[in-house]
Amino acid sequence: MIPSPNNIHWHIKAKNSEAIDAIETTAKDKLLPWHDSLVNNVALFSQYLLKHPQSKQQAELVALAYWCRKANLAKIKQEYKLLESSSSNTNKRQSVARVFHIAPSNVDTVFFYSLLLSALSGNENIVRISGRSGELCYLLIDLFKQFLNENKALTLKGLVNIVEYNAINTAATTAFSQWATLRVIWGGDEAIEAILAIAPHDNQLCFPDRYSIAVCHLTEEDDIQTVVKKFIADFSPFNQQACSSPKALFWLNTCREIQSEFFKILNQELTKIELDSNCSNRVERQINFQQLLLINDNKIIFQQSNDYLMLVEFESLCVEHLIRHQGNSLLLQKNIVCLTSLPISKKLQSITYWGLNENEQQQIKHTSKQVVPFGLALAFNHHWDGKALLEEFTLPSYFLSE
Amino acid sequence: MIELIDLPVYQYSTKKKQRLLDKHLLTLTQFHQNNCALYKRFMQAYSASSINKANDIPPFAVRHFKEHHLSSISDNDTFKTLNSSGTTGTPSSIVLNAETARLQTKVLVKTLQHWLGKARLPMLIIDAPNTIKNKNTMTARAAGINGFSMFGRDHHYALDENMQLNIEVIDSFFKKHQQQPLLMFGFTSIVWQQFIQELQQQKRQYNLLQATLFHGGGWKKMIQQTVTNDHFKQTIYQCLGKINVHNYYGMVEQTGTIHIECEYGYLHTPIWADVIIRRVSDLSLANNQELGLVQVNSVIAKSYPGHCLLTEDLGQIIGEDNCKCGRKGKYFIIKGRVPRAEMRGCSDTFA
Repeated sequence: MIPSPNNIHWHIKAKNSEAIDAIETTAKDKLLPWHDSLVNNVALFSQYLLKHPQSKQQAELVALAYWCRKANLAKIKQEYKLLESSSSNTNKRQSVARVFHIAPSNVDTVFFYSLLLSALSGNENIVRISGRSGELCYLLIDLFKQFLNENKALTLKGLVNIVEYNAINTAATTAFSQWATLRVIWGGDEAIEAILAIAPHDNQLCFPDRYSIAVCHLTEEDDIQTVVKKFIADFSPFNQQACSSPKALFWLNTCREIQSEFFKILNQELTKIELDSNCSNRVERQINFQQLLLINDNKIIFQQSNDYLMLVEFESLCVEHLIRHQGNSLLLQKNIVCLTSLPISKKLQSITYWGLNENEQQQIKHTSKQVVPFGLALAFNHHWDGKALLEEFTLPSYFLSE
Repeated sequence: MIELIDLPVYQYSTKKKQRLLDKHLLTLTQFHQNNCALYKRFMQAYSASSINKANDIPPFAVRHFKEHHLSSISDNDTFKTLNSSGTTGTPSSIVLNAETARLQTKVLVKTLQHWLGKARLPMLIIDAPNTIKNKNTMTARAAGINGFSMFGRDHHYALDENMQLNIEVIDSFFKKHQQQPLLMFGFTSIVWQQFIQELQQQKRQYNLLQATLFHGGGWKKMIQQTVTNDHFKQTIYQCLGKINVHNYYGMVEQTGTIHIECEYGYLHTPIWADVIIRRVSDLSLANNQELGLVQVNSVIAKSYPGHCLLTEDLGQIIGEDNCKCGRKGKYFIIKGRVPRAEMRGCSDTFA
């Protein structure tokens, strides 16, 4: 039974009766992880998104639709099957049953990947979104609601609840947490701590604070325009506040002229895209820049800013600068001669690279949770932040009491 | 410093005033660098050779006072610590030594005497008496009431403990002083909601002949109710008669230094202070009339590095030396606080 605490806004409420009907009248095995009926439902939503005039214009929604298209789901399912067959004493896995997802107030779409993967794994889900969520988040929920209404017999209907409530409503957080067999907290160290203080949970998946960086080696042969466009795909979405968006760009043995050319084109390209930043973000950027100045004894070697970008070179750049960095189109840059000077720490999430040879790629492979070429920092992967989500959302069946 | 305190409040033209500010603000910059480690760190990140006049001094974000203990004096010399109201988030904490505290009072006295004269006036405080009773938390409201009370006598509170009109007090106060100069003080939103709108509702009108109202504390609530400064004043005139109404702009980080609205609706910087408007994108100096981020300078911030501060308010300089009211120096308007950008993304808070 889904709990019903007070003062909750239910964006989407699972059709309980239908779900039960579906299970009783058809087959309970529809809720087995990666059952065809679930995969088909999600693939249908992909088509819906790709066709809908409102989502077609949103790069983030197109990316989501592309990720959950039938062909890609088939690929992921194969991986799941491999996982299942690798389980030693049984070839069956089961859903973890009930998952409570706490989404960040933005990176508006990431919670949805988490929700879909969990639903595909056959779990019932409650997603809590924050009242501070961005427009894109509400648009996505709206589209999903419409999709559920327009399509009658969806197994998915019984599995998805989306709620919004204020964090001070601790009774709600407690009730949903108690209901859940797995809790997923889409990060922020502070958020994780706050939620733990409200309601501890012995089975949870957390995505804490991370920072990400970019490494680039350019020569005269490179088509800088292309490199810039790929870099922007990592740098600009969600105001540079996604944890996989690069906060700093490290130039590996690249001459200053080429760097200047890169920034010239970067500035030109940034003016062309519709930014989701405003005056407040630019004020925050100024303040955040000053906060970084107070971290260590340092010198500003170079600083240039406009509405679209603040580019800064400090004499020294350390991990703390990257941890305290708050996005808003502030790019720290640094010249390096070898990859060992990258600021590696356990909070490093992604390294995006361009122009690295095989050896160099190999060299940084294990320094972070994700090492991908420019342009793919935000591409969702079911191995997220070092966690294998297919495994997290299911259990070997011998764990289950029956 | 004695001579600085005795300067006329609004008589120096910008050029002459700028020379004075350059000298004092550059000296303070050096002093705070020598005495406050974090401020030194901040300043040393910049190239020293590029800082030759007040406008070159990088403004230090007010936000730092919410996140760090910033002091240029030894703990033994701490006279008192001021805290901002903290209605939105963490309060600022400002450390004063005896000298800075004394200068704050002097500057406030000099500034207000320009508008009120030297005699203490009968004073009606548009607030509840219990607002200043909590000694542990010095709210901005309490600090404002205490500061302005120095200019009054025969103090009365217009509101009761529940923030409701105390009609007997108001009636008898106005009756007694209707013909004389009198002083009223309150927070803008309280003056509006708890006083003027309530008097209107109760259909009470007065005809005060020589009253002056000072109000400050921000327009956030007023903007939410779409009350303009003009509408605010007109309503007050209808209710109380043609009195003098002055908004003021100031903050706990520069207590004592206040910018007062003239008869033409513009805020004026006193001789000890300055306002600079900077572009949000790169903090370059904005032109007159151009909207930007407000920097406030004050030559009396001696115990903490608060002499050149970058606020989170938006404003615009209207002109210099040529306000119709005759006061010299810059005159400006404030367009409110920049809404705090929500920290979104992965390193999120649970809210």
